[in-house]
Amino acid sequence: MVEAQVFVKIDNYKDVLHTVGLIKEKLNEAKGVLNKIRELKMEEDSELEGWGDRLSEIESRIEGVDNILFEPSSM
Amino acid sequence: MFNKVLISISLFFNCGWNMGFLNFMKKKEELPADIDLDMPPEPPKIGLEKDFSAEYPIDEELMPLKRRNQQKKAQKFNAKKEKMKLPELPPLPEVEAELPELPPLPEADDVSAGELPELPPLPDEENFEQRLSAAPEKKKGLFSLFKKKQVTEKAQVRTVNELPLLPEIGEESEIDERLPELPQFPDMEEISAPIPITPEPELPISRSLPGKPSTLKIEKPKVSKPIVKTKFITISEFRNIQSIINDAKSNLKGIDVFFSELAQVKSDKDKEYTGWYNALQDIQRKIMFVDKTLFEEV
Repeated sequence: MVEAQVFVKIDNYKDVLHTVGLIKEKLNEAKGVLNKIRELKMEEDSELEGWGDRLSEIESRIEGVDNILFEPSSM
Repeated sequence: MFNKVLISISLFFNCGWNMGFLNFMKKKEELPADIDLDMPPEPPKIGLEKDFSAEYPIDEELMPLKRRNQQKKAQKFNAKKEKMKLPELPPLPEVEAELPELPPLPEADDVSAGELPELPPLPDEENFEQRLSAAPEKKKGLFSLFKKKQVTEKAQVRTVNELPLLPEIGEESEIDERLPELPQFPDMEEISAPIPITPEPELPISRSLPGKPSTLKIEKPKVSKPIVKTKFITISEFRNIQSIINDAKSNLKGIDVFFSELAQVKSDKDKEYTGWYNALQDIQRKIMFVDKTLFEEV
């Protein structure tokens, strides 16, 4: 069974096209901002990892100091 | 009821003004001519029905709204009509001076006898009389006297004889050679279409060739209309676009919630960072204290 094609008239075709173009521009802009946020988040994560390593190092050294102070070997 | 009437009559006669009631029978005293009396206002004109009817009251504000609107519309229409009056056409330029002279008419001597059409032959009178005698005569009755006389064939033939027969017309090609071409009729659309009012349009005059009739063509000034192209899409495409837009709308509907959550996470993170910074500073101070206590005394 062949269906008859029904057409829908678009009154403000140029306005719609212009608006679609603007939406595309805004989507690209939003994509760029999201990528920038991702980069910042990766930097933050790397900084946090570095600080975690430093803190663990400090912890180990303080533990050594503690061992030296409270358990003197010369006594 | 009867008692009431009696009482009213008795009162009527007992009171002093009862005689005054009958004064209208008396002769009226004439007023002196010197007295100036105020003129009463003119009574309204009652002759016309429109004066007091609900549709045509005296005051315009009392007029029904429908009628008032009709009057306003009529006034607007008249004003528009005056505005729409076409301006007077400018006088046509004098073309007579530029027109070529007409070719001289051929003289009668030049025309040869062979070119003239031959005269029609006269009808034979003998044959005509024979035909008349051969025609059957109708029986005349009593009422035939009052009947209208029929036009006899003889009279018809006489009238025919008086008029000469038309000359034979040559072939179409000969006629075409002799006659000049007629100017073409303008298109009906051009005539029916309203001519826009433009400031004094120049009327181009087509100069005719000698030997041909001069024609004045008034070209219609072209008005550039903005071309509006209507676009159509199929119903399937329309539904597809509709579903895409609905999805995008539903996705973007949660953007406010997302950003509020993101702001909350950011504030929590800032608090954590400040707490971490304070803890590190405290560790630093305590290490400095331990350092002082251990090594300054030494």
